[in-house]
Amino acid sequence: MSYYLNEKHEFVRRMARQFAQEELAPRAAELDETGEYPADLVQKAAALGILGAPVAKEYGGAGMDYVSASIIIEEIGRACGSMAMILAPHISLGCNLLEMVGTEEQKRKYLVPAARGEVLTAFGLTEPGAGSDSSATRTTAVLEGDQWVLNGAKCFITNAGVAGTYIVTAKTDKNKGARGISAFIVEKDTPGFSIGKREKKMGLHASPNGELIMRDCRIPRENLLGQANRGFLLFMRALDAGRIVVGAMGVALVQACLDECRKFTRERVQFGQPIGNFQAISFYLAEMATELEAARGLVYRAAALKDAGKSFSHEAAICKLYASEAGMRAATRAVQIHGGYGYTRDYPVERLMREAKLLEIAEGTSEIQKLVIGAHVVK
Amino acid sequence: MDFLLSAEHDRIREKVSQLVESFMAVSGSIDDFRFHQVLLKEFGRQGWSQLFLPGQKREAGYLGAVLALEEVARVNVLSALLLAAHLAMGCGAIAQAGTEAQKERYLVPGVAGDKLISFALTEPGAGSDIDCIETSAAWQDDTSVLTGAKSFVMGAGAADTYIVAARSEGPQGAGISLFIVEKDMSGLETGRTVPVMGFQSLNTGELFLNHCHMPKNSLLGQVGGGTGIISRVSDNFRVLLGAVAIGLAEACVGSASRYAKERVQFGQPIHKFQAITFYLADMAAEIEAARVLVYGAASRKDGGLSYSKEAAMGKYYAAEVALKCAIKAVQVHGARGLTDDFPVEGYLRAAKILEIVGGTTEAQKVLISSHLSRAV
Repeated sequence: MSYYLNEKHEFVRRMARQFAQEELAPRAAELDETGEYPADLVQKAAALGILGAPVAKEYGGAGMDYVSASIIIEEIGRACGSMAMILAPHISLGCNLLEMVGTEEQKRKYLVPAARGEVLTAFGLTEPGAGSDSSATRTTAVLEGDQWVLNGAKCFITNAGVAGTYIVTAKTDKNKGARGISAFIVEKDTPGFSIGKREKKMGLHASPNGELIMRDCRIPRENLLGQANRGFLLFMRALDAGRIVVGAMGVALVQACLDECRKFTRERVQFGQPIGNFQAISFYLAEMATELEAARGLVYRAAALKDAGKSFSHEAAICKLYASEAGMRAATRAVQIHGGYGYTRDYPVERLMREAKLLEIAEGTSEIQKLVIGAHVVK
Repeated sequence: MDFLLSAEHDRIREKVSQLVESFMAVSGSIDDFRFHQVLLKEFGRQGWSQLFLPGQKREAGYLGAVLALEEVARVNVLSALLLAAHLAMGCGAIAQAGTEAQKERYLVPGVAGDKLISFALTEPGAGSDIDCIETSAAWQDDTSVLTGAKSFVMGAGAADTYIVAARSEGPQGAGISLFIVEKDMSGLETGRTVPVMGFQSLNTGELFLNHCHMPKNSLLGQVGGGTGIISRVSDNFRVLLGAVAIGLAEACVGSASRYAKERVQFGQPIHKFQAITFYLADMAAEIEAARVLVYGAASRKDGGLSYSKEAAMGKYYAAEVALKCAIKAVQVHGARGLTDDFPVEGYLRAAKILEIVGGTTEAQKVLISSHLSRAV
């Protein structure tokens, strides 16, 4: 028993770090600039088994635990935020939902190629009128004969357009709120299914994000994922896992900021000495390093609870809230430490600050996390 | 399993919590130093003090000690601070550097809780900067003569034994050395008990050494070896102070959430307002952040890894969390939070010292940044 990582996890970290530093880090600035989806890098990650890291081996995964998956996302995010954003929801939401409640047939058909990295997944939950309040979902699914007919639109969907398998939520009982929602598997070429506009975002430019449009989109009856009208509880469970990896992205961001700032504060000379010698600056670094350790420990602990089969909803919310906010704090501090240079694209911290903000919003805003945590405290 | 506590750890939490709760119910006033001494004795009698020292009970590790102290602090932060100082600094220094005879004479009764060992380090002119220590140890044949004044000594006048840091010069050895001074040593005097914001009952006060002739066997460790011992026991003290801060912060969030459920305004319990819920959520999240830092430091110590940087991180961070939680806990209670009808005003007064004792927040950050500038 220890509150730090064992050898097995350190091994995973070395593997992920090598890939991230050699393949991803040199491309991060360019990907941010062009916004091109890095299909080749996703392929390389797939070849290493990363896309199915925590999926069972019998379904094409690497059979790793969730602590390992968090470490992988952390190392990838440290090198390139966009890549982490492409992979995190694929692993924690797409593959996770299929593995959690998919039928054997669904797992063979959709999970295996997803875990092998042949097909990317996306999770379509958010709608223009259903953000934090997902019970307000308006997309509908009606059973007609052997087919479900889906109508509606989803927005802010990560991997929209590049994913091959989409898991979307829709109302199956109009008279009920959260208890009238179900989840469905939709293949990208299904008639009536299309991709709307791609969002122009503040950061994470190479991670595609956009709309899903369903107009009389007919899918086979057996593509219902999990039980009818039980979708809400299902995706709440998936989001708990999603929060852990978004937490890992927050850790990655703090680490990337600290890496850059340690370099810069040694090189940058003002008043006749490296600025790292001044207490004002060195204390910023000490605080960043402390919050990094805290965020990291919270993420691994939530992941360890999940791995041990214990409840981890509260801990996932805490790690997501803390790590994303630590990421934002670290990024604004990092720009401050770099002074005018930090505001330019000559240094990575400019990009890091733009990337940080999303983490306080995705997979449940900070405010939603606080509602979850607050409810647990007064229970 | 990594990052999770064992069944033994859960048992420690439960048992220590029971001990302190039941003790609080029957044993006199917490504002009296005697209270803490009796608790120290009971803590030792039940064997919990052994968790803090090398030897037995290693299964639970130092993490077990951290958990035990956290439980004490949650119920009674005053005694927890005294326990931390006694076990990490007082007993810790003797466990670390003492001869077999010294261990027999001081450590055994110290761990049993029969004798309180207080560490006398700080001086009026030597706070964060221990190089400024002026208390002198002059060599006279086989003895050394201690002269000087110490400030902020916990349990001054009530402790049985003091470990005094003094500066020596000359051919017999130079540098900071530690001496074990017994309470009835001739020339040893205690000054006034300093009036303080919180922890008044810990009798923090002054100690004067007027030509105390120390026998040879009172030297703890090597001549000039004091700085190294102080640095090592301080790392442990910081881990424990992190635990004290977490316990105090837990007490704050406990009081605040209880009150928020009872207190009705605008037709509903105030915890239903997002402003209040979010305070509680912030407290809970930051306490968990402090926890992984402090548990991480203790766990690294148990694993034989370096933990000095991690101890500093946990100490400063947990202390800041405790103070923030105390301020918010008073805020949730409104004007009642300022009265002694509720414990939170006491928590707030107690919390501030945690940002200072055992090395200020700023001293911790200096230590952390020196580690950061070393490693690549």
